[in-house]
Amino acid sequence: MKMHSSILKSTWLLLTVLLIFLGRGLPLWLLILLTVLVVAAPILRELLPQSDLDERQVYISHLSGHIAFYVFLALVLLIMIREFIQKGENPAPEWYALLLIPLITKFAVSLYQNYEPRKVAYWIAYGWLGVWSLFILLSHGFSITALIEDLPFLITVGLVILLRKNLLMSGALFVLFAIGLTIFFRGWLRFDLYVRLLMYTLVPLPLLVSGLVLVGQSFRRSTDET
Amino acid sequence: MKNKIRYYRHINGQMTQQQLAEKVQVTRQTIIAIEKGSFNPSVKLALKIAAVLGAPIEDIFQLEEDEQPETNGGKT
Repeated sequence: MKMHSSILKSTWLLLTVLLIFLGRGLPLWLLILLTVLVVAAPILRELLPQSDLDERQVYISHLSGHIAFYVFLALVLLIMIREFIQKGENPAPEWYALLLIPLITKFAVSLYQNYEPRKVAYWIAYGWLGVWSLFILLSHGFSITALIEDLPFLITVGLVILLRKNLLMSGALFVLFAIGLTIFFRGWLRFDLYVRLLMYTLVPLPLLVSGLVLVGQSFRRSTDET
Repeated sequence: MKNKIRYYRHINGQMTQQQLAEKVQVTRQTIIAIEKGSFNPSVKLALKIAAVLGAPIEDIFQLEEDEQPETNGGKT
């Protein structure tokens, strides 16, 4: 078993070295295959129920991942600044997607890990609805147009406050609202892939995740109560 | 946090770091890090180590002077 594990570790190390030193010279398909293998292996090693990692190794793995995340963000920022200085215009949307999506993911995962998931789902949903309402208010001021545009959000908030004790209904409402927004903003499909990726991550996804968390929590609560 | 793992290994028949590591299902490097005080084990691992070394957990692991929490003198 120990020898088997050593062979696997050595193979992974060899693949990583290959990827780092020969990455640029490899055909794209091989580069993608190698990257998937190199990234998936340690994740699987941590997630499998019979993981051979002890708590210190898991801690080291998380710490190195944490440092790598900030190095990645610093690198993306450096490239964006360089592009801006060289071309005198804002960098391409893919750089914003690369910068913001991992940050949003980290923020959301940290929130859900730190606090009660039910509370976080409500905070994200209320925060999102609040920001959107503010955006409408700033665009149109205190006017009938603003009120009409804000009405679906106000109704959703009102319904969620009324149904606050019913996690399933609140969650379903957020999910429906997220689906409704995706349909409403179908015009975004015309945009560049990276702009779409960014817009859908910023607009319907937080609501969808909050809704799904609340629905999941409602089932968990009903299981706990039985 | 300081610990007396090395001492208790020796009074447990000169138990090696490798033997202790195998008994509590961690790597030898983890035992070395715990002994040096550069890694604090979880309560679960500390309990396992205490069980293998046959000593009370609070005797094996102790807080440093500056890590001691404020207590109310045992009053409830």
